[in-house]
Amino acid sequence: MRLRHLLLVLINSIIFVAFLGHAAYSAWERSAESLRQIQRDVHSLAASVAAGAANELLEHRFDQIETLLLRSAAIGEVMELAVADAEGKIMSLVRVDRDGRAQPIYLPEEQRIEALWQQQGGDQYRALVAIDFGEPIGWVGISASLAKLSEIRHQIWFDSLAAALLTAAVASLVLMLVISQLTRRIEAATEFAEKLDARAGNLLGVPSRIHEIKRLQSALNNAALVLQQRFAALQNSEARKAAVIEATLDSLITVDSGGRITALNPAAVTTFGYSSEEAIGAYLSDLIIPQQHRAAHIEGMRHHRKTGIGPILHQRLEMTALRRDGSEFPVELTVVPFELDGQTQFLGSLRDISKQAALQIEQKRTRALLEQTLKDLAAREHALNEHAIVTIADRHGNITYANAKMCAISQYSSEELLGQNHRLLKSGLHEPGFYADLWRTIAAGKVWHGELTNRRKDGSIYWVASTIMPLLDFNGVPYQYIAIRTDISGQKQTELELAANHERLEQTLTSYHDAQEELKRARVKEVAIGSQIQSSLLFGEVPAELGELSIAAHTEAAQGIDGDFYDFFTFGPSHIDLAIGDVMGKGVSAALLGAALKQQLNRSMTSSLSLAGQPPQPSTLINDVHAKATPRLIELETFITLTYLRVDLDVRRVTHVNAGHTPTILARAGNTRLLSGDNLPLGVFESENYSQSSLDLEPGDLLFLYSDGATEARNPEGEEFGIDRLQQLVGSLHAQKIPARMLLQAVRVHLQQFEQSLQPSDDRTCIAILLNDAEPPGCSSTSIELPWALDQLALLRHEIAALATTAAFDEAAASALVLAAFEAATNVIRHTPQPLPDATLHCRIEATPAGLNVILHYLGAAFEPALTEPDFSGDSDGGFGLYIIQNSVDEVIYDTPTPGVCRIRLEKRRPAAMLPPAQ
Amino acid sequence: MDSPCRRHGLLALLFLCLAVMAPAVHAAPPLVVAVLPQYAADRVQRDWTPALNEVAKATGIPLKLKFYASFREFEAALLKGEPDLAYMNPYHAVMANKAQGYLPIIRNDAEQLTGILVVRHDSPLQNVRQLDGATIGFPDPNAFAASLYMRALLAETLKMRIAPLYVKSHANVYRQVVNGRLPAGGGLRMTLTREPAELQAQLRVIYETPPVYSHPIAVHPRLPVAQRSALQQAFLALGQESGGAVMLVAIQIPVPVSSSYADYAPLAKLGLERFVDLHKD
Repeated sequence: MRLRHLLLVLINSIIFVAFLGHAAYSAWERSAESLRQIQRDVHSLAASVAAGAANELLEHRFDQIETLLLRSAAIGEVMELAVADAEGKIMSLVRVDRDGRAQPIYLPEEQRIEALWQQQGGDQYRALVAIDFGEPIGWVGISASLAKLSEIRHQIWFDSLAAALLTAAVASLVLMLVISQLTRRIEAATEFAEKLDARAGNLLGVPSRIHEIKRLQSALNNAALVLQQRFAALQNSEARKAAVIEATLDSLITVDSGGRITALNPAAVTTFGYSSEEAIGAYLSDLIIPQQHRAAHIEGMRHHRKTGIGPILHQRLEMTALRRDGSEFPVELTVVPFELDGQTQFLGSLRDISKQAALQIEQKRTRALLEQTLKDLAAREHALNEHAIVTIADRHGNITYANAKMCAISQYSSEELLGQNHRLLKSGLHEPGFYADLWRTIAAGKVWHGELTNRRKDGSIYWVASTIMPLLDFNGVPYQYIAIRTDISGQKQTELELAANHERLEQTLTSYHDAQEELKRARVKEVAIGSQIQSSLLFGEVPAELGELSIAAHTEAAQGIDGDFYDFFTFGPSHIDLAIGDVMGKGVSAALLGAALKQQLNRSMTSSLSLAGQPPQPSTLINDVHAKATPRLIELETFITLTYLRVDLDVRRVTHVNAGHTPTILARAGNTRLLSGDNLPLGVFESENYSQSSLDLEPGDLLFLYSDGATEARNPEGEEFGIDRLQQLVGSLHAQKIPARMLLQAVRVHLQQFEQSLQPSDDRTCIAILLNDAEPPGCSSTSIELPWALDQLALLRHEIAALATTAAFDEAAASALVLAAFEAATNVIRHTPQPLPDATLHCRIEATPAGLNVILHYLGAAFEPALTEPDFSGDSDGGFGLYIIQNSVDEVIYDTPTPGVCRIRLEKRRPAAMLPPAQ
Repeated sequence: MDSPCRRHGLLALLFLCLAVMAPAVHAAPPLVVAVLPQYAADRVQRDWTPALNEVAKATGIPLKLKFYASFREFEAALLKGEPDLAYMNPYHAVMANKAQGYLPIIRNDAEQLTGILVVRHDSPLQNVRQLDGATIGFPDPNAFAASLYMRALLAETLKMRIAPLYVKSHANVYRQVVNGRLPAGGGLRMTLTREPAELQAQLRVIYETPPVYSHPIAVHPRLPVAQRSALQQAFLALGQESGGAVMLVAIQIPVPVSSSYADYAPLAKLGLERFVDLHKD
């Protein structure tokens, strides 16, 4: 088939298919759009009828509705229009007849719009729209004929196809004209090429007038000419190459990509011993590649076939090859790939380098040996020169060589030394026999070792350890001496100094020990001063009793001095204020801040006191302290927790401010509760406003205040003592009516036992304030605190006697009680080891109408007296006291109200005659 | 600058004005014409102006239309004898005659009005008396034959009690009956026959009123007899002139004939005033 015909058929087919496709698509689109348009029209008509009919339907104006429908029926392709009420009952119906006239239809019986709309069929589009008047009040139904749509569709299809066919025909015609020009030129060019081909390389005249064809024909002519010339050149080149290959001394072997030999030159035949006939077609690996390289060779060929990559190509390699007789020899190999008939082939050029290889190995070995030797020598010389002072002298001792170290130590330059005799260096400090001995040794051809002094150019002396070695000639006579020396001046100096230093060291050690002792004494003094500062600056005086209040306070510092502080202010017989605080941190800085805050409290209190001596409200006071102290505390980046508490005994009321301090424990009637506040510590926020809260007190109430050193005490397992445990402990001690001071001691013992340490890990302050029960009528009492010492019991005797007098108690009976109490106290102090260094014995003496009682409280383990008859043998020192006590009072009770606290109660009743008359 | 020429010109202009105004100054005041306010004033104006102009021209009597916003105003005006000439319904002809002695001079000859009661063609009702107590649709309380006259007859002669429901138009009365919304409705024989045959086929007439003459034009007795006669003749003559037929159709008197109170006197005994809704506009 001719190109021209092929192109015409192809292009025409494409154009027709394309235009027809486009026409069909646009016709389909337009038809669909027409349908959509009709649908939209019908819907908008229905909507507009619904809008128009709404009001009329509401007013039941069916005549108006009918008029509206008749008017609307004239629009578009409407076939039927109906309005129905909300239930769907048709109220008005209009139909368009075949002549296009709209007629109202009066249905002989009731019909529903949906029924009517369903029963119709055919080529129609129907729309049903609700008449909405706030709520649906009826329906509008419209049927429109689609008959016109199919007409429109036919028209659209006809138009589109006609337009497409016309356009395609025109396009084909134009293209045919264009293409026939082109194809005619191609045919002319083809004809020319055919002729050129038939003339077998002889050139033709260029007949065409068309530029492109003319150029093409000239190009073909030129190509034919060049090919002819190349062919001739190639023939010459081939002949030359064959001659080179024949004549070359190198073995040339070509193999195909499968590794089979395809050609080899005469040199290869000679070198390997295979004839051309034997070699060609055989595998290279079988013939000339030694066994150890065969696997690598085969893998290399396979890799090249697979990837086209050959790492050994174009390289100059040295390897071994195998002759026919089985001998291996070194070769230099170059492999180059080339294309032959579309197949990759490899040309290997091998040169026998057996002789060169042997020569090279020998040369290399010799050179390496020489280099190593020279290197060793140089290294040794360098090492020697670096390390030692070296000179060489002739047989007369004249210096022929001196190294840099020699010059440096002797201060002579090399020029000054050369040619000089060694005598130049003599120090003159050795005996004359020393040098004679030296010379005797070396002249005899022996090596001399020894230490000697030499003199520098400036006359100073230096020490060297020297080795002098003679070099002997063939006759065994020294002709040269090499002296190798090491500078030992420093060592010699050190030896001398060492002796002197030893003495000085002993002196220094003595004074160091003295200084240590001094330091220890200073520390002890500092701690003592700290404690003094603390007690004077940080802790106010504790008023032990105030009305019905018993107050006890105690503080222990972690580092001898701490940041806990407290202070008391009393206003008259029935008011007392207490401030307890804790400065963040420990040591002197915390103590100073605590002292400063305590001072500020005092200052604020003084400045706020009314003229009548009335103190300010606690919150007012604390807000004043806060205003003064907080800016400074913020600067110092520290803070202070504080509880300020006021007890007013007149109204039995406690008022307190808590600035981030540990909550106060209130123990009452066997229960405990926490009095806490929600204010932040002082020194946190300048804008903080401190508020107070109040609480009525009842007789017997205990207020227990403490620093966090109490709750944060830890046992060796790291467990915290905790507020719950403290609350429980204080509660149980209070429940047993333990006096305030004793209670405080008991708490301390518990904390000590918990921590298993005598020294608290943090500053720890506790204060107990007990509102004592009121004395029953006719009763009086007194409490005293006795130091834990046998010689301090006189006060006990005195107080019992005093109360007995006041209570008009029988003197003899009182003496008996004194005896028993004294005996009991002595026994306790003597036999009960105390866990606290400042432990006390608490004594309460009560006078009641029934008699006189003494109650002793002290720390210790439970005491179980085994009362027996006294042993008067003198072998035992126990038992006698108990006997006395038992017989001196009416009743004695030993008990342990709570673990760690013991109690002895001694009761002495009034003699019968003294009892007041029974009521 | 006061030239004699200019002075003469002003004088001439003054005389010309007087000459033009002279007839108006000397003419009698126009007669007041009242038209039953069935329609809005603009329609009354449109329908009546051509005929009245023609009559005024023929008689030399100036006529002036007066509009009333409601039935009530119209009737009050009649009772006071305000209009000289009035187009009214037959009931008014009775009422106005009693009050002021208005006299009908012209009415339509073509046909008499016959009020009808219709029911659906398949209604079980056979006798009008079966509608006693029923709700019956009427176009308007004051529509004469279809409503006023019909209700008066039902009450006075048939002694029936019915609940009227006014649905604005005759066409709507018929359609509501066909739709079954109303068991029966009052209309006019004339309006029913104008409806499509299909609609008529769905309805059955169950009762009809005796025929009455349609709306007359009446004059107040204060008008001189010569004027009454001239006006009557002018209306009668209107039918003979070219274009007059259109004007007569517009005023709903296509074929004018002479009328007298005798045409309407039989209605007097029905007590129609009780069926008038004076609150209706």
